[in-house]
Amino acid sequence: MTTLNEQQINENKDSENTSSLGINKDQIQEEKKENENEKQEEEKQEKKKEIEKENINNREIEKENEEQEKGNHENEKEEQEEEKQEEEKKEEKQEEQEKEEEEKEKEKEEEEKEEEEKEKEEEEEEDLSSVQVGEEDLKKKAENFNQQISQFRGRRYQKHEEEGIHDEKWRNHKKHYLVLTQAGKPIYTRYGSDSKLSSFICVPQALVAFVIDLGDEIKCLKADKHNIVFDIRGPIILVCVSKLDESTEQIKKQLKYLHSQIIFFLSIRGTEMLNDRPHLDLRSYLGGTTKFFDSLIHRMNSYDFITDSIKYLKLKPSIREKVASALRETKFKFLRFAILLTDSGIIHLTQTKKKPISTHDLFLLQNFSQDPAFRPNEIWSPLCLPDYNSKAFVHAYLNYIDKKQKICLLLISLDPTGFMDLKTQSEKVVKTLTQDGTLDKISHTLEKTESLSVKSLKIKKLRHFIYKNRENNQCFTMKPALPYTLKSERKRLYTLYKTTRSGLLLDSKIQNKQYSSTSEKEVLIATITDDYELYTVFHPLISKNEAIEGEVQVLNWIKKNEESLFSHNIQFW
Amino acid sequence: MQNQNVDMKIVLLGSSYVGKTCLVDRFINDRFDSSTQQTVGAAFLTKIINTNDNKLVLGIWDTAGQERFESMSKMYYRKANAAIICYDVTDYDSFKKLQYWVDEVRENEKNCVIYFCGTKIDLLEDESDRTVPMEEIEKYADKMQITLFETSSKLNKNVNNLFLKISHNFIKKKNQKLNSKKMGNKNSTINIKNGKNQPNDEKGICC
Repeated sequence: MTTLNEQQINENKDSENTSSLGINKDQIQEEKKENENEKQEEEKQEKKKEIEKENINNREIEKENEEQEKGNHENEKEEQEEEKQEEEKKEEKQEEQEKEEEEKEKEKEEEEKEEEEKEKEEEEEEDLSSVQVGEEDLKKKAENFNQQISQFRGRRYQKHEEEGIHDEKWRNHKKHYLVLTQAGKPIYTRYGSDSKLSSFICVPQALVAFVIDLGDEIKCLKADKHNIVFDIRGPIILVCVSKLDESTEQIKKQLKYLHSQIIFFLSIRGTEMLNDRPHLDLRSYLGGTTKFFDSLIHRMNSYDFITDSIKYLKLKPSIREKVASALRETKFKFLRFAILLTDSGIIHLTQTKKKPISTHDLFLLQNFSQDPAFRPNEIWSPLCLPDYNSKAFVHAYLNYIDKKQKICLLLISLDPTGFMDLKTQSEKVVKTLTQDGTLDKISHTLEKTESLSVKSLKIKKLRHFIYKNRENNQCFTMKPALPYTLKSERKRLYTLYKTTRSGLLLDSKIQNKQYSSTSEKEVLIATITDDYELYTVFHPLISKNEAIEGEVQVLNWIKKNEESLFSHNIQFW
Repeated sequence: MQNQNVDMKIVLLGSSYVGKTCLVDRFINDRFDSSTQQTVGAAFLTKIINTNDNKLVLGIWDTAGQERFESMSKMYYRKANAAIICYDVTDYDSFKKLQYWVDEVRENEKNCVIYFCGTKIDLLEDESDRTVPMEEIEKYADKMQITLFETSSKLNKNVNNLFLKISHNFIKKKNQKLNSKKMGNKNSTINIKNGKNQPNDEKGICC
């Protein structure tokens, strides 16, 4: 109860802050009045849902869940979908118009800039004009080249490989990432092939170069709905064009991770090659790693990324202790980190006391280790952990010890010739874990917890929550309830979390904060204290007291299960 | 399976997209996946084969062909008994790269036996499709005393043969060494003769 009082006090204290961040109580009341009209309709829906809930109780696996929901909702969904489609069409049209306008604006900007540049340097003018004249020829050449590459070098396995800047599809993507060198050579593009985007890639390069000439650095550009964020790191330019409702800070964080992904494969020395040879094509060094960039971007929509924390899997403390002792027994002079993990989280981590691993590096490692191509074999690969040491390579041994549940043992060592030593260590770990049945227990628990939904907490009107333990930077979350089982709704939820969190963390002076926001679609309550961050999302028609009560219930549940949710003593050798 | 000690270490080298992973996949799992992606790092695979009455555990390194890994490839072919350097018969550049690898391995691992493997021969509808002329590669292989194989992982042509030959030669060489050691122990004077004979015997095997 003390927590509740504190929260209420904090609430009063922070009322000024919250009002700036969110909606006042008055506003909420007003909204509620407005909502009352809608209530009647929604109550009908609720009744339906309640009937469904009885059915749902039996369903554990999400897939089944969704399928059956589809069955129940079919009519509703079709209607909704039709509406959505219509809306989307409208939006698309609007977007098209906007884009055209933007392009015109951009073109104008460029023209203006070019003119200015012309005045400045005559030589450049010649170059630019020749580029414009030869653009079509270049495109043809580029296409031919692309075909040749795909013939000789195999295909790049990307869904959006064939898209170019003139394709509707390419324009409609909500978020573009672009990584290029200061010399204008592409390093990574999320959508479309490099050659088809070659003319487009010059634009951010020119913008960056132009502002540098002015003795300044471009940070972001806002064009209507679009937020274009630049991040210039040495010889590398990272650009994100986002249509989503994200702040510049959030996008900068994402670009930082993309840059780290380059360092991860090449080390900072690799990127420094560009200083000496600016026209170097980094892609030849990064060959085959595009999929890791793609999956990293995909992972940016995860709760651990949003809360800057590590997700540990829910396990009985006794099992975790057994894993810990097995990992602690691995002995090799140059071994630095031993991690047992799955796609959805970390089971255990053992490390040296001298230099613990950062959340950032661990995130990159997790992204790296989950590539399906690694599953069948043992892997030995050099890689660079940017926070640990961005100048040198470490060597990773990867072995999927349980292929069905994708449990993977990752050993990081400093010795490039240590593969055989680590292989024997890994065999030892596998032996101890299989002998006493720990591995079976883990995979069994994983099977169970994978489908663990927020519903299992049986807290009224609770739809989702994230809890972050600030002490050890670990977070815990569960599968969301309806409607966030739908992808589009889930994406909205991610954005909601992101904006809420970045807003709350802006002012670091106030330690305890509580914030609530109400919208037509959900009620969110966020609490940040020294020890934890908790974000809870409820049904939109919940009263504030009920919501706070719900939050306290979540908190109590976490306190009760704390031992199995978090790995409190990170093990050291 | 996992506790087997590796008797023979084989490393696959060659530029990107020549089909190293497919070659190993065909040999180990007898399958062909046309959507194989570029290897990152290196994969270690083991396979037990029976030759005559010997059981031989092969440890095979499937390395990545990208330039990024070239400087680090040393750790993969270190102490290797055999190196299969692959090139794509329809890609002349991959043949050029072959020479780089030969120099690299010869320089650093003197005891490693090198084999050439021309991949993707299923792409050759007739001989004119070859961008790496047969004469050129044969001439080069002769000069370097390296045995040449041509394989197709897709059609399973010559793949098993390649690995069996390599392991066969390995056993032969091992036995020869054992014999020469025994001979050496019996009578030191024959030692010189043996030493003279050895390179002649090995010419057939190459290296």
